[in-house]
Amino acid sequence: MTSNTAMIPSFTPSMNPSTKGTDHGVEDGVTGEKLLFFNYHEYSVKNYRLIGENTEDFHEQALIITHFPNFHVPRDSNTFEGTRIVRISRYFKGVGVFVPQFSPYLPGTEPAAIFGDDDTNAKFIVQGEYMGQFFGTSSYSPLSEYLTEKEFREIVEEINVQLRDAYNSWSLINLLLFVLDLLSFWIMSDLIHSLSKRKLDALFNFIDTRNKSLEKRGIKIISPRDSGFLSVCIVSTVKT
Amino acid sequence: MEENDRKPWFIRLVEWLVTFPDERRSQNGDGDGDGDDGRDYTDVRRNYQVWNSKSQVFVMGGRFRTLKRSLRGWITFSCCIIPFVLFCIFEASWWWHKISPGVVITFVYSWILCTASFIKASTRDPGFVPHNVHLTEDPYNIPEEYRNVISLPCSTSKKGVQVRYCLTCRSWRMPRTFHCSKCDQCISIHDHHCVWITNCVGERNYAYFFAFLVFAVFSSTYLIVLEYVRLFYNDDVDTTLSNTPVTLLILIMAHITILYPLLLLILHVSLIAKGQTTREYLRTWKIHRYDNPFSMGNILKNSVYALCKPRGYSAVSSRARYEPGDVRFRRFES
Repeated sequence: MTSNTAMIPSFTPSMNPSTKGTDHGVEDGVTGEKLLFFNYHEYSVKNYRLIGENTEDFHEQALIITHFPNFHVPRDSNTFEGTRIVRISRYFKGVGVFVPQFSPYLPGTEPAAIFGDDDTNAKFIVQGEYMGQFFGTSSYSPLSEYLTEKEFREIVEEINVQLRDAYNSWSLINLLLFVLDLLSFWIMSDLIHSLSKRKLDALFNFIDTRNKSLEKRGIKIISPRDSGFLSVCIVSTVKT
Repeated sequence: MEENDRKPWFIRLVEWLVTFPDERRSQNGDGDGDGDDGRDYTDVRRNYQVWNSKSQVFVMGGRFRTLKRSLRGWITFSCCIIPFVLFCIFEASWWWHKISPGVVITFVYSWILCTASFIKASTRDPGFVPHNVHLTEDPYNIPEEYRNVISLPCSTSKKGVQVRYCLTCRSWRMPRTFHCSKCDQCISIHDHHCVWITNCVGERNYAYFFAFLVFAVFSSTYLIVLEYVRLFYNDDVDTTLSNTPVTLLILIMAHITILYPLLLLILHVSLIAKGQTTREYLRTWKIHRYDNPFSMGNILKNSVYALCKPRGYSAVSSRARYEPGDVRFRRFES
C-alpha cells in the first residue's frame, strides 16, 4: 500500500516474532503453554527500506508483511497493479476442525499478533518499503483503515454461520439425501444440485450483496471458493 | 479458438475423450513461471485442459479423472465386471427360474452398486486443494516462517492442530491435508493413496471408497453363498460341475475378490469409529491414549461425519471455464 502521507517511522521495539504461534507450537509440547492464535499468512522481513532513507538495508526491527499481491486477477492487468489483498486465515476453535471456519479477528488483533510498543496505536502505520510495497512493524494490515473490528467480525461471523449450515452433517434432509444418493448408484448427486451447494450459493450471494456496499468504500470480499475455502481474501484498492 | 477449429474433428474427439494436461503444458511451454500467464493457450476452454499436475489424465471432457499409470485400477475394475458377467450369462437363468427372480435382482443391484462406488471413488475429485492460492510477494522466494509447522489452538485437543505451507502447491495446508506425490496434488483429509483405485482417498470420495468396500464384500459373500448352494443343490457335485463348470471358476474368483476388501473394510470400520484416517493411524498406533483432535468422542457422530458429510463445491472445478492468466494453473518450481 502506498501512502502520500509518509508516517514518521517509529523505531519502538515490537514483540520479537519468535513469540509467534510457531514457536509456541514447538514449545508447548514441552512446557504445556497455552497455544495462541495468529494469522499465519503474515511473515517478517529485515532487509527493507526504512521510510526516510534512500536504500534498502538490514534492520533489527522486522517489517511485517500483512498484505499480498492480488493473484486472483491476471498479472498484466490494471487491477493487479491497483489492488492488494489481505488474507483471513482459517480458525479451528468451536467446530473449526470439522467445518471450514474463518478467523473473526481483524488482522492485527489476534491473541498472538505482533503489536507496536504503543498499544493505543491500533492501526496500520507505514514504516518501511519492501519490493515496492509499504508495510508496518505490527500485525495490523491496511484493512484496519477500511473496517472496524466490529464490522469485520459481523461479516466473518455471518460467513461462518452459513458455512456451518452448509456443511452440517446432522440435518435429516442431508442424511435422507445421502441414503437416496447411495441407492441410486450415486447418480442423484450428479443430476440434482445438492443441498450443500444451494446453501453455499446463498453464502456467495451474501458476499455479492455485501460487496455492493463495500466497493463504495474501496474494498471487496473474494469468494472463499476462489481460494479453495482455505482463506477469505479481501481486496483493497492501492491508495495513491 | 481458431487453432482448435483447424484440428480435424477426430483429433478433437480423441482429445476430448482423453486429455493429458501435462503434455499440453509442455508443448506450450507455459506453467514454468516464465511470466506469460498462460495466454498462449488459444484453444483452452476449460480448467482440466491445463490442470496443474504432472500425472492427472482427464476423460470425457474432464468429467472423469485417472492417473497416467493405472494398470492396477483396471485389474480392480475387471474384478468388478468379470464375475458379474459370468454369473449373468451362466448362472442367472437357473436362479431366476429355479429359485426366485429376487435372488438375481439382489445380486445385480449389489454388484452394480459396488461397481458404481468404485467408478466414483476412482474417477472423482478426492478433495484437491488448488495450487498457488497463497503466493507471496516473490513466489520463488518462500519466507522462513512458511517453512515451519505451525500449531494453532482448537477446541478438541490441548495439543492443537497443525498447519503447514506446501512448497509444491504454494498453499497453506489445513489439518489433515497432505501432498500426494503420485497425484501431484494436496488432498484435503488425506486418508491414503490407493493404487487399486488409482486415486487418493480423501475428503470428497471417502464415502464412495467405503461403499465400494462394503458392497465388494457383500457382493462377494453373496456370490460365494449362491455358488456353494448351486454346487451342492443336487447333492451330486460332479454332475453339476460337468453341466456348468463355470460355477467353480466363479466360486474361485469370488474367494479372491473378497480377501483384500474384507481386510480393508475391517480396518476402515475401526478407523471411522475412532475418527481417524489411515495416515493418522499409521503414525499414532503405538501411542498409548492418543489425543485425537478430529474425533467427536462418539462412534455414531464419527461415522456420520466421515461418511455423510455434505460435499459442497469442489475447491477447484475441472469443468469450469478457464480464465486466461489463472495463477492456479501455473507452476512455480523453486
